[in-house]
Amino acid sequence: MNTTFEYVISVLIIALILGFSIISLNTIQDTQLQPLKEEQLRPVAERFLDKVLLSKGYPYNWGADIFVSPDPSSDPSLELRKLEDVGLAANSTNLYTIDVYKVMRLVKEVSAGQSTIENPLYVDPEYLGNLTGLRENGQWKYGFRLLMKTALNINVSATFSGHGSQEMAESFKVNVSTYSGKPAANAIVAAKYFCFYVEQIGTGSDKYVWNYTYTTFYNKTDWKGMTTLDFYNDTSFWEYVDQQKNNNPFFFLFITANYYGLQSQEVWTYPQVETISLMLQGRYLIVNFVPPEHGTKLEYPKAAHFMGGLHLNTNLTLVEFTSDLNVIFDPVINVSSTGRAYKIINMGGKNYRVYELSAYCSPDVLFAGMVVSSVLKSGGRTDWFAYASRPLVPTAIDYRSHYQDWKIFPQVGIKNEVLSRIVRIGLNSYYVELTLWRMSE
Amino acid sequence: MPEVAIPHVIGTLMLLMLMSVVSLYTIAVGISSNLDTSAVSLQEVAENVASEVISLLDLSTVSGNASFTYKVIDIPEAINGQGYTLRIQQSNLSWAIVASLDQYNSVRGEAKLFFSSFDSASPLRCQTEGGGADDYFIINSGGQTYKLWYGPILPSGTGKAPGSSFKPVVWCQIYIEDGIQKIRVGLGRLQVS
Repeated sequence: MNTTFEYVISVLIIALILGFSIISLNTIQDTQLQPLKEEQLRPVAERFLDKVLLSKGYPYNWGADIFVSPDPSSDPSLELRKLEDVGLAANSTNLYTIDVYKVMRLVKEVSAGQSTIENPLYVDPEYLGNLTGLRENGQWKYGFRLLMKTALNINVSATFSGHGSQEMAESFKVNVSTYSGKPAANAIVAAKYFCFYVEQIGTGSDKYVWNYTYTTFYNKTDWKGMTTLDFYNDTSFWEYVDQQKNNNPFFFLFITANYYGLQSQEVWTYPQVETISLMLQGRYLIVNFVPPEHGTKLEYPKAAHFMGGLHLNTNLTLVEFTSDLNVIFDPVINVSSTGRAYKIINMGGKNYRVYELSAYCSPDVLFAGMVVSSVLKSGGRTDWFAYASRPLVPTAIDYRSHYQDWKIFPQVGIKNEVLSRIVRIGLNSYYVELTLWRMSE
Repeated sequence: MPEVAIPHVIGTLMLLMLMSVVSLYTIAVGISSNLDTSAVSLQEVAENVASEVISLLDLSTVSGNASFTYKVIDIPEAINGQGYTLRIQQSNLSWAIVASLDQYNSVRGEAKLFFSSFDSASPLRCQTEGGGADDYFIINSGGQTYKLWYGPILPSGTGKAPGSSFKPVVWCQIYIEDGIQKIRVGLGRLQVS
């Protein structure tokens, strides 16, 4: 029997040696294949980013055409067409040129102060996931986050000083940095400083008109990316502004920074009034007015805006600011309501008001504003300037497959790929970053 | 004497049996490892070809004019010494490039093209069929005439005509039909001589 035991022990020893060898071989192979599998995420991410940025989608003008919808059956009364393919490229022969209307379709809502507009043309990420195959059978196969922001960060701080009989912002410190946060030295900064005002020209129902004047200034940033725009010495501008002191003048500084071909824009307004949200979609301007919750105290003139219906006094014209510092006036047309109803917002439960513009905004239009003048119950008048940007600045898009705050994807430890590109909308540059990860590894 | 021999016989038989089992298992593990490696390589090939398709599609559609564009792609002739096939096919609701071993069809790599396939009226279509005797385009370039046979690619050489030389390609055709611009993309082999 001793011999039998010897054999049994021999068999066990051999089995153990072979077993460990096989396990080791498998482990080595898995270890070698795993990096290869992880590396394969990169071409997937590159392909997806190219697909999103370089293809136009279908229908090709799906951004501006408000009758293109992910769900055409949602409103049988309209002849909606189906959005069949999503791509952000503009109808242009230049690569990496993006259509601003398509970008705006990826924005869920626009908020300004206490007012929010939910984008009725929003394309849900799940729909994009189903179209592209990132989602299969109702589950995400890959998670993604598409972030788009201005290529340059422009921070503006105003210096106020007494000028004539008024306290005016006459000098601005501008700090320009790149998307990665580095100072943009020797960047060229150009600015137009507008003063809008509303004046009374008669006694009829449309007795108020708005008008404006402006001045320009150029400068170059220092090694820290800082520069100063000093409008103090433009005496003719300030004399003109001083003459409008009884017409509620309000100011709009429109800044362009160009850093070796990268261009971004920013605005600064005074007085800062954020009671109305604007959104441009296709040829339509959507305006929203949401009263604050009961009991909220607001300082004049903000408080006045929340009292009952808001009657707009002036002609409704959109002021469009282009990326080459030009200004376009786009009147509101084809208002379906009768009488003066179209000039009333915050009427009852109807917070939204949709206006049609006489023309599509050019792709170069980054900011669009509207002079709003209203009659108060007291008989007085208040004026302000509401503006919208498209795409939104500084973050144009934060479009992602998962939005849960408590479960931010990708979680720590999950292999992900981050790719970036520089794209253009009009003359402006944007930094696009895609993060892609597998939902199971 | 027999009492001494029996344990040796039993032990030797056990050793032989163990060696047989271990040998079979080792072969199975070897095949499995080989197929795993092949699957990773196939995935790599599929990803690269899918990237080529998307790049070609993006470049071709920039102008918007009717055109036919192709690009010769560099892919291995065999994966771990085994023949494989590349094709475009539907995967759920979108198109994908699929590379599969000829011998083990279930060993495959699949790379999404990221555009949808669920709407047959879509102007963007993928050419999934082909490989027949009449399935080719005539291409005139530089005073010479070439044939581009569309359909699945068999890089290992299956289907090559005697005396001919084929190169694997991806192609994109933009044409106008009923006033609508339509796009077709596919795989194929370019007969260069």
